[in-house]
Amino acid sequence: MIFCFLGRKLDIPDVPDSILKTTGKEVTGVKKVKALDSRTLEKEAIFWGNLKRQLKENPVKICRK
Amino acid sequence: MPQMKQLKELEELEAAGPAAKYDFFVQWHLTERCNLRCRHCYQADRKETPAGVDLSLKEIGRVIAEISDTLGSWAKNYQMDFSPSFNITGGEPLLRADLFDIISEARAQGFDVFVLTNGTIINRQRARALVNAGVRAVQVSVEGPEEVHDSIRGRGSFSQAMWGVKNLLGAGLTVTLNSTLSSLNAGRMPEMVSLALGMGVQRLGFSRLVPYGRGSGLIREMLPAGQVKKLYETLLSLEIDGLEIVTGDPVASQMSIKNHPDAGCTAAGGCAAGISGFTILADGAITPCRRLPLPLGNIRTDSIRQVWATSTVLGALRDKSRYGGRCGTCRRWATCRGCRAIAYAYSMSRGEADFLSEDPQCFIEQDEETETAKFLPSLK
Repeated sequence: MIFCFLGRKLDIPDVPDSILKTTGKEVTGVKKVKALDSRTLEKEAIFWGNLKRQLKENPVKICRK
Repeated sequence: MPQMKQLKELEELEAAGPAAKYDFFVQWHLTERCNLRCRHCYQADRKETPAGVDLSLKEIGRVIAEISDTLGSWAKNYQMDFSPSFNITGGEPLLRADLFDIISEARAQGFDVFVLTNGTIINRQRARALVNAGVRAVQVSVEGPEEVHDSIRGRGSFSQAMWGVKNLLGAGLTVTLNSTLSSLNAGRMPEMVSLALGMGVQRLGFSRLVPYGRGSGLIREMLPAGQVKKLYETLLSLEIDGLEIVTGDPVASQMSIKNHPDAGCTAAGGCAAGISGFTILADGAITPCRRLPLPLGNIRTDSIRQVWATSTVLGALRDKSRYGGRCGTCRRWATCRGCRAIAYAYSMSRGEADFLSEDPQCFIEQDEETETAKFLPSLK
């Protein structure tokens, strides 16, 4: 494919679909999601509670592109 | 009595009412495979895993559902209103044959999807497929003008990336060009602005070099704090019609806030690690950030809610008293925390490996100290 860039004509060969060959492999039967215990739930509640209070008092932006 | 304490927290939360939309994002490295060998790549410490180690499409579907359920539980229990999204990357994410199915699944579950790519294999059909899958925007890594870019990312990669950018724009996608700042390219950034304008992209972004992985060989190319400051001051002050200048750098985010009050000890802004997202690697490993390779668990075996609530690494990242150097005493800590990945990689280069050490390129607090010092004589 001819691609014009900054006044130059560049011949960029198209990339064949055969390069798109990566797929994953399933690993089965290993994840066991248990109900959260009270200690974990407490930690979770403290985290979100503190964060929510902070956001209310001092709204700030998370950095991401 | 943990349960009573928890109940009190919940009552207080309920009284507080719904919060504003909270940006929560997961950076997902779908594969370690890449068609480039960039000199500064932070991923390159990880062996390029065979395709069979990567999460399968079926597993990925389950993970997307788990993240959706987790956010749903947090939203319901704590009255949070999330704006959830995925940053899909690699390796080179376009090397996954099922990328478009993965994006479609994430969109179907209500996530915004952004793709981070080197751009070199995006032909017209793939650009259109990204649009059809529902991608919100694409970030293409470009390190400078052609000779600079090719010296970092490999010969011919610049032309191929520009070809990819043209195809993305032609398909109607929003495109960000992003440069990783180091002494290899810092002096050429004005040309990046011209390039971005010439290509017609909507955004131009900047990150700092993380001297980790293959990038650890570039430790001497890290910019001194003063030079980072000058670059950001120049770049972030530009006002150009149709071109937005952006950065995800927590230190840069502090530049517009003068006389920052003490923001306390609850991290809520700046660096996202531990407070507004996490990263999943190709083999399912969970880390706090794409550039901070501290394993928190594995998505194949561990519950996200469990990891988020109980990880000791995340606990430390949220605890100001654990931080060292200037970050540990900074009044901006709650809204910044510096770049934890750079702090970690830099401290590692000095034989300490401390992810809670100070950001070695921070210039903000130094400035405030200098300003205070200038002011002091007039008080005498």
